[in-house]
Amino acid sequence: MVEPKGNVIAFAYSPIHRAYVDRLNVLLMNAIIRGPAHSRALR
Amino acid sequence: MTAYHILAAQNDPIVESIRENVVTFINPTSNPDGRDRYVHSYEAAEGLTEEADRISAEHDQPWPRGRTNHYYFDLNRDGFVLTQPETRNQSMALRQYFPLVVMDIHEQGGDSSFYFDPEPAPFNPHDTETRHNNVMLFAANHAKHFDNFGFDYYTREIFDEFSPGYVSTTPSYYGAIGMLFEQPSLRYRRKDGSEFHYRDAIRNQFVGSISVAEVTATNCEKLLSDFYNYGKSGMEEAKNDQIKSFIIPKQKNQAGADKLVGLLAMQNVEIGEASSSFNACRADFSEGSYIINTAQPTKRFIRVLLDKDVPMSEEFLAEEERLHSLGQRSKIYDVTSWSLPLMWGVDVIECSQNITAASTMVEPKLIKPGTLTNANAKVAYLVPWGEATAANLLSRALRMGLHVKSADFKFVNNAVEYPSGTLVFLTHLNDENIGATLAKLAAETGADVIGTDNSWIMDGPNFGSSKTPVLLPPKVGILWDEPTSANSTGNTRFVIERQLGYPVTAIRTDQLRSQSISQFQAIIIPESRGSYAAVLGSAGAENLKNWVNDGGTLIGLGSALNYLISEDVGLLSSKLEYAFNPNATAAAGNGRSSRTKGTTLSADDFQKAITPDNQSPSRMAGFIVKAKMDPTHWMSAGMPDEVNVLVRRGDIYSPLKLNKGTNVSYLVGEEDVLQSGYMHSSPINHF
Repeated sequence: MVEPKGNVIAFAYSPIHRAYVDRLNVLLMNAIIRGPAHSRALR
Repeated sequence: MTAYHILAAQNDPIVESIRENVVTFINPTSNPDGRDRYVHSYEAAEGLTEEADRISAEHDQPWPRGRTNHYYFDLNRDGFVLTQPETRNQSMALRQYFPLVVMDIHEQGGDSSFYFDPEPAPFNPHDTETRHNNVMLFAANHAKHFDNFGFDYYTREIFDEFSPGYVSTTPSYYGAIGMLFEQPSLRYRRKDGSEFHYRDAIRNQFVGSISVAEVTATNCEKLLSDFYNYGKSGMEEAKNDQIKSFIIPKQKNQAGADKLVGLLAMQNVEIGEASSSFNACRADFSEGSYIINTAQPTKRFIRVLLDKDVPMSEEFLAEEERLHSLGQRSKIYDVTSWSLPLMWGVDVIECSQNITAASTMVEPKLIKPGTLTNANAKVAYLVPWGEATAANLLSRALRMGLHVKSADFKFVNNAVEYPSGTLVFLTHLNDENIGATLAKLAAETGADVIGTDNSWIMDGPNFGSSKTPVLLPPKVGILWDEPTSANSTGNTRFVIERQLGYPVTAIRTDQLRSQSISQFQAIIIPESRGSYAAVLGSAGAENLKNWVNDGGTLIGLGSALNYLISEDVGLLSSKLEYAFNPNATAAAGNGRSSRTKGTTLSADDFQKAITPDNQSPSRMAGFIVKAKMDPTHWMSAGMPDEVNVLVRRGDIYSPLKLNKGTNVSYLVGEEDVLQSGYMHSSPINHF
């Protein structure tokens, strides 16, 4: 089987609930920007 | 109609008294976008006759329904964080005129009658006896009028005012009487076969509104002096409170601290920024620390937002535990914790002294402009990672096409330690204006930028290391429409677009059955109300799996994990856990017999006997727990070692095995986990 090149990032509790939990915004930013930066896909 | 009556009625002593004594403001709609969606979907479905059947399309609004605003926020939960323009502007308007009485004239389900306050328990301990007593004045008058007309009503059910997020509670924290009306609106055939009409809704809200204005007019002097005394008594109470001030020291998450004081200042809290270092409560604080003495008119508001915990009465909690042990519904309407210091990760120190250190008054601004040091740097410009301001700067940089790398680990350059995730703008990979560009971005976003003439790294990855990857601008999508939760998908898109500054493409979920998504580098699968499996089918699931195999980053939120862990999808190797039950009774009966062995049951035994061995953890109103972060993973770049998480759902997932993934963040043991709010006791809930 081919090694998957992507990532699955799972938040058991949404980090942005009602935009209340400001401290976790950067965690979501890490997911959307750093996830692709650590993908093994060619860009 | 209320406005017309107040302006035009003649020979009506009630209206004359209102005109004489009261200034009435009417905000015709606090949610224009949601109202438009609702009206449009109703009109689009209209037929020959006005339809009362609840199954009809007029009564069954399509996704995302009308309750929420453009980014699908429930505006009736946003009253203290004020992230939405509708709530923020309404809050600012209230603070321009300080109305003494504020009514939230609301809609509810068609089978209900008319609700007015007094509200039920739990009561917020920072609310006042005076307000409760005044609410009774209004309630008695509504009841009198409703009896005269023969209108049904109810009170003291469902809509507690414990959380400060509601339209009806926020004004109470500047000293007004905030109250709630709830009633159905459209023509509706009720369960008992009777029919409710739109004209009934108008009539009832009209009578209620005039009743509010009438009581306000009759008691205008009392209400005015109560408003004055609200602030005064708050200041007096503060003298006897254990907590007399809050100190917000200079800290790593300074952007969070700046935003927190800005938000409080917008809501009339007086905050000092220390002009020099000072000592208080046996600690030293540096210049620039924030000081909030609670002896001010907004004392109760300050305590409601900054206290780590706002307790419910023991009597109420005992009843909650009893209901819970019987598997009955909680009486708590919404979140039991909303602590801004915890949710925003800001260190706030409770102090038992009134602080007199010299300070300047904080302005109501959410960010402070950042600065750039070493404007003509030879090698690179660095932006320390971890605060929301740096995330905004990154968004802007990516959208402008700047070249940016980021270190997966912390490093030391020129004897300064930079956190993991720090952004690196190399001068030779950007154009000659990079310094000026970043100086402008620093000023606009609030992030600080540090130029360096030296690439030498003492500890951690070099700028040229594979541990310092290039960040390319990803195309980010979010699943939209059925079966997603409109709140989840809309609010997430809001945070990324409007708080972090990065665009997100909304993709209707069913498109994934047939359309390529190869242009996306990241896709968010938000919480859902319905079934992803039903909407995506096997073709959609294959599409997602292939896309992840080809390099996509799939980000699941909350209940979407149930789809990702399902056998057909298998994108996440976790399982849902049953509620932890140390009393599980192994094989109580014997096989197929309808009989079981005889027992004598104490109250405790009875509780054990009626508790199912395996049940799902119960849904939670909302509380804050502490989670640990693995600092070595790029997902936790710039994050502290521990974060607080708002939990509003019961699902608990088993940790991933080492060969199946990384548990970047996990909840700490039962003793330590709860930070704030109310969590039903074990055995039903156990992390």
